[in-house]
Amino acid sequence: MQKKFLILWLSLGSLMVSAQSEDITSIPAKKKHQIYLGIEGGSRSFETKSRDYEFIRAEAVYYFGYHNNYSQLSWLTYAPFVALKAEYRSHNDKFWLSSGLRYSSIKTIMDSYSDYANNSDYFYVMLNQNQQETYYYRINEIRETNQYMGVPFEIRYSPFKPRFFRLYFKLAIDLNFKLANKREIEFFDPAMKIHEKEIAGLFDQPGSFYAAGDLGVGIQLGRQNKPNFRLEGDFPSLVFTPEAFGLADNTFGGGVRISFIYPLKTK
Amino acid sequence: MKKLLILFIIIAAVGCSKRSGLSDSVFIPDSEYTDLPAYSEWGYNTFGANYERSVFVYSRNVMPLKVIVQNQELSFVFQGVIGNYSDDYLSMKITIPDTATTKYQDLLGLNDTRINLSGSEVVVEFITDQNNKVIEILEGELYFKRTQKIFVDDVEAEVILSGYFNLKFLEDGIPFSMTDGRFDFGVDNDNFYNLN
Repeated sequence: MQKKFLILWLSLGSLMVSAQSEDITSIPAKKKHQIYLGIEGGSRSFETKSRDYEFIRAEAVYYFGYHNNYSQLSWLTYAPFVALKAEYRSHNDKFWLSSGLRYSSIKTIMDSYSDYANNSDYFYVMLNQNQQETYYYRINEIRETNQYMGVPFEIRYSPFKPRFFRLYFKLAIDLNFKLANKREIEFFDPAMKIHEKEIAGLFDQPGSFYAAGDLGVGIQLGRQNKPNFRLEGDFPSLVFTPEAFGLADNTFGGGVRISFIYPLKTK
Repeated sequence: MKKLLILFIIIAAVGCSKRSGLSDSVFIPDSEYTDLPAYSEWGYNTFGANYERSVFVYSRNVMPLKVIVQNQELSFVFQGVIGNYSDDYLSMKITIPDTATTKYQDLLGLNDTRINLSGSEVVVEFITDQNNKVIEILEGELYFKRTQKIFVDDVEAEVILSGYFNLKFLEDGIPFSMTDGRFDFGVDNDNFYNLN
């Protein structure tokens, strides 16, 4: 599947390169080193892979009257972020290297497929049992937020001469260190909130670190040595440590980001 | 990803799924006998056994187990079909002498209990559309491996009976066998009947 994404990505890039190469009004590159400071914001979303939690009771799901083995659980994971970055540009202004600090929070929501499948709004979690007594609790939703401080390492390449509108490509990795974790449980019966801590503790705890990488393509608006605005798409975003998260595994995804950069130093 | 997409398409196209809950049957296939439910202790309301070259399994359309107390006897009625997704309904009623059971919670006392189906005080009947036939058991056992009381949101909900069964019997002079049987039932006031 990742191979398909790469082909799709390269095809899209080729089309955009072809379109822009017809622009004959480009401005010759100014051979100057330049450092920019920038602020960036955006969000990524990941494909989430459920784990086999033995304490979650399976639910009946039927289609055409036949049993269906698909999980009744629904997952949503997204990761908004903001970053402060410094960027160094090469002599010919075609390679842009940047790094900085990025704050991100990965939010994962786990609930039932009730909206689509008309199943119950909850799922059962077994908290404890002895030989003759077992205790289930009905859960509507579990929400987890992990906050991270990360360091991105990014290289962007624009094959075109400086001009107001520039297409570029990006290769990036980011290393992220966990700052905090919060897990909230919404019970079918709100009075069961007294068991929140115990049930939250049944699920795996997130690791202290995760790493991810992006391929991306974007457009930059702005003249050389002037403030620039960027709109960028990440696809795919690959998580190198898929098991580093608490409720489920995050594998790959995509995202969008915008950034504003300001020239700091000209040589 | 592909599975999710297929699931979404099916849901969008059909939209005929069913409400889930403790009373539904949840089919988790056995890894070896894939037409049978795997042995479980969750109260998935399933049972199944290999029956000759077919299977005797629960059906979604009928209550898989009824427990009846009457005249100092306790009966377990396994209601299902011969062959997966067929409409060849069959009920197997196993009756044992009992004086202790008056409410469904009393079934907890069956924990780790083996019942010899060929015993003289045990009666096994097969019930089809209009026929009620007492079966001559050659050998067989109903084993309640585990019984447990379930609490949902700290409120008592049902009793779960989980275990195994198998039997060899004569029908019209011909021997048949029902093997590898397993069951996992939730019992509450909806399927427990005290007719005394």
